[in-house]
Amino acid sequence: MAEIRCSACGKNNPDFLDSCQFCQSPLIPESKLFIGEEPTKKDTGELEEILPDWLKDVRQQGKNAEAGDDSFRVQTQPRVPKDEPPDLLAGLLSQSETDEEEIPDWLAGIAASSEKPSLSKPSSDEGPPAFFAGLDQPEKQTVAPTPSESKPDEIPDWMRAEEKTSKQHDDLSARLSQPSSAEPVEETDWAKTFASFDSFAEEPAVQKEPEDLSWLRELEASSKEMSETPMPQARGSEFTPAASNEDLSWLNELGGISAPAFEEPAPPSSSSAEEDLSWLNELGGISAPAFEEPAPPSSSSAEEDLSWLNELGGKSAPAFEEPAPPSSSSAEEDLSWLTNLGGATAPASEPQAPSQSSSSNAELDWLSDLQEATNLPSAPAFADTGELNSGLGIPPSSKPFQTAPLNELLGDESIKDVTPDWLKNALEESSMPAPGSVSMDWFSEREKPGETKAEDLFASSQGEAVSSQPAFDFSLGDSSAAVQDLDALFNVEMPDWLAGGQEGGAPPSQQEAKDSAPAFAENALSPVELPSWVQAMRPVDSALEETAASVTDQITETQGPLAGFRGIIPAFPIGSSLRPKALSLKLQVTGEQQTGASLLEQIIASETTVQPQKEQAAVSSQRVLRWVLSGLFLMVLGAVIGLGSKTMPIYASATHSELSSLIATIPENAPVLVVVDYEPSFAGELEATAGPLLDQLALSRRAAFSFISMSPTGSALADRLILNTGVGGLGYQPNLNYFHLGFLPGGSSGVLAFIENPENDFTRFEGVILITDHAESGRVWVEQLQAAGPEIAAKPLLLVASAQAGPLLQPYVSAGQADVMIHGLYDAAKYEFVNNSRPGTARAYWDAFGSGILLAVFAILSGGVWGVLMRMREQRRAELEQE
Amino acid sequence: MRILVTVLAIASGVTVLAGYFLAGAVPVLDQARFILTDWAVILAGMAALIGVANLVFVHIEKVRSQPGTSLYSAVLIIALFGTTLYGVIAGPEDSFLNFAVTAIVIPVEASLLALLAVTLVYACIRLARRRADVMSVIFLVTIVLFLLAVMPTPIGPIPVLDRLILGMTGVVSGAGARGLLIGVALGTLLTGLRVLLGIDRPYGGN
Repeated sequence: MAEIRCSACGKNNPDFLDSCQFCQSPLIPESKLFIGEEPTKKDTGELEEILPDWLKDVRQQGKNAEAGDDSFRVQTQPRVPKDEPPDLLAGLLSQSETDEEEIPDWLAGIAASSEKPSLSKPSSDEGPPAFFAGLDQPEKQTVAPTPSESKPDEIPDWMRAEEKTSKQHDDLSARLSQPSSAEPVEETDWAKTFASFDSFAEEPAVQKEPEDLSWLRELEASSKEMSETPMPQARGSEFTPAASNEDLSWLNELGGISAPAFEEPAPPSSSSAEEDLSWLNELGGISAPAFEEPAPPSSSSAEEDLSWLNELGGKSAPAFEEPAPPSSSSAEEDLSWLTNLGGATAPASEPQAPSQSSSSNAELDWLSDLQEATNLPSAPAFADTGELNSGLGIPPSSKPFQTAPLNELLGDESIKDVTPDWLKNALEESSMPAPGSVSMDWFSEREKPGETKAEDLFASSQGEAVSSQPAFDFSLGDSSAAVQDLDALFNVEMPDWLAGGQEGGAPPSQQEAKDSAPAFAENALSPVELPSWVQAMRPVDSALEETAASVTDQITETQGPLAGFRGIIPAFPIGSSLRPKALSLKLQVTGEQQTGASLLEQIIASETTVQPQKEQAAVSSQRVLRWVLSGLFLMVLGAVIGLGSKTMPIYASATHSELSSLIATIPENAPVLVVVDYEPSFAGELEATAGPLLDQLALSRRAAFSFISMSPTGSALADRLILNTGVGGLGYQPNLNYFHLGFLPGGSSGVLAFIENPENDFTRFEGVILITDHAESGRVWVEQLQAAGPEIAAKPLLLVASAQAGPLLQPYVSAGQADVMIHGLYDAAKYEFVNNSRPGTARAYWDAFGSGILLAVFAILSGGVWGVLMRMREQRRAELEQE
Repeated sequence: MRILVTVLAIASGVTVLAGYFLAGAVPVLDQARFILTDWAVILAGMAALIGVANLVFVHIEKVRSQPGTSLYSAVLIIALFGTTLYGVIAGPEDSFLNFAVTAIVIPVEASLLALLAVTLVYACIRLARRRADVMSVIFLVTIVLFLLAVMPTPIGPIPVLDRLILGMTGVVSGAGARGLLIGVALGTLLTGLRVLLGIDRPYGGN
């Protein structure tokens, strides 16, 4: 027995307890029920005996009413002849008669559905349950009488498929719950198979746990199903009363699973069908006149004898009781069937077999017979095969429910040969359905009037008239003594696989409890604290599981008035996820953004707008001004130049005297390098500027000029320079007194190459005269000469620059890198004045130069004053307009 | 290819630079520097010829594509080839060639420079009308004072204004010129280093 350690006190408790027997704390967390929690399936078999009296009364009333209805239907229905002998084990016999051909299919399906590790554990050390051992024997012996009831053809293909996929219990239950009329037989087969195995599985559970009578309830439920199915024509409305009465009888079916398997082997051709059904009515203690007719003398005694069976928990065994009524007149006789049950020696065709047992010690004697039955060669289906094999030499193939050993035996080819097909299937797959794997939708369908019921269809196909009365109604004559006896009877250790089967039988009771919940509520039950078995009755269908799964995703409110509630506010938007979000029609922009947008809009609009072309006046002020200025300069300068005026005096400066002293230091006839680096536009200025210097060198030192140009037009400018400076008038001849070295490209590199080229012999030049209008070229020459070495750097460097380049070259002069610089007409005139006014070019320009500057200053001043006045006038006009 | 170009450029720069500093110690570097410098001059001369060729091709294409409106282009092409041919034949000291330069090139460019003077005067007149702010006033006053300082007057140089203004302008212009030259020197140095280090690749190596 498994134990559960209490999390509170740490002590071990039996696994069937929900609360700790020491500290009363819940052992299983699921035993506590909270609002919003997902209901769980619970096994309430242990609570059967603690059912309140009112509940038991309700169950009994329901059974009585159901029995009455069933008996009425049985009377109104044509009796189906049954070939089955009036044997209590007729059902088992018929079931076992085709153990190799027909039964294995459905048995294998259930076995596959109940595949479970616990079932495969061998229990060789445990003695076989005698009761089930006795059950197996008649199966073996009653194969012959009903060989034609179940044929392999009757088992449809889909059922075979179900055998393979029997682990998927939901699918199976879904098929069974479908009210399709096309599958009545299959559903009934399933029901038979399912009920038979569950009922068998329940019995050892009682032995294992004497207090747990749920298996008896299940067996009772199985008997009820069996009692309802034999009426092939009593469907639809005829079944409605019974179904309505069963609303209250669901409690009897707690943990029970209908066992139509007991009905399946029942021979439909039995002539004692009425008698067989009568004992069922009597078994449950329900008045069933139609059933009592075949056996009137035994009715009273049957009730007494079978009362203990009713107290057992309503275990259904209609086939067991069929032979009883004719001959049993006392309690000993009634219990004799149990003796046969254990012995299983009586063939199914012997209806008198139960009557042979007439022991007065009914309860204990038949138990002894049960024990003896284990020694019979034909091992019962539920016998512990380990013991049987050792003691009786039963072939291993005869132990169908020891799954694990059977699996082991499956590999034995010799065993396979002697093993029936249905046991082969059982060997291959577990013989018991997994707990909770069996869907009880089948019971739900029972509740619906007018719909095709699986058990009804099965009964119609079998042609059996099975009473709907539960064979074992524990609600009737519930005697504690009988319960104790039964507990003692089955107080043997239950195999694991049977325990699993018991667990598997629990869900149907829960399902029925769910279906019967409205009837339960109609009894105005006070809202007391829910016991665990009531909790277990809560609907636990797959649909609810889906919702429960979603409940776990819900949010528990922690604040506000809804604090503590879960799922009040949906966690996810309902229907709003696909709804487009509402967008604000007002654009949220700042003022700056609006300003920028408007400006951009204006720019774009102005681009597309055609701007009217302004008509320029034929005579505008600007154009007049330009013409006036041009005409004024032309007239003034032209007049001064044309008149040859030399009215403006020139004054020499100390700089020019220093230059004359420097030139005097240059040796005579010394070569002097003249660098022509100016554009033709500056030719007039620079020729006038360089004229006095070249004239002094040529005149006083007779220097040989070597002209090198830094521009392509340099050679022509050099010739013009010689010509315009008057040097040519001094007898200087080209290639004799002056030389053209040509154009020097490359900028600073060219200058460097020219300076450093040994062929040029730069050291031969006594001085360098740089005539330039570019400050850049002056810098290059200064830098390269300084970098060429101290000897070259010591050579005099004379700079002749334009007025605009002079200021940029002045730093080199100030720094001593250049000796003297003459820039502009202003310096040229002064130096010319020092040079005795030679060549006179600067002096010729001097008056015109002065006149032009004076005119420019006057124009700028007059124009500036005029502009200021006009602007002040416009401002004043604007102010007046504003005023 | 880019790597090869970069390596060649850096190697040339390093060689020339090393030739400057190690001319006496390693004569080979000095010789290499001379060779590389001559190559640079030749390449620069070829660049001038390439520019002239580009000018010719552009105007030839213009004449071909726009025959009716490309008279000046045709004149340019004819003058270019005629002058070049005559200069190669007669030499640069030919009087006719000098006359062509003196009678055409110098007057044209001098006229443009004269227009610049008139334009500057006109701009100064309009400046007070267009933008009468402090800087404009300062600019105009500076121009007037400098012109007055260098302006020959019938009475000679203005006694105080001559020295004062020329002194001030000399100082101011000298300071500005020194700053410009220092900036140019630093820029040249930095550019040289960047080229030597391969950071700048003006030769097309990106």
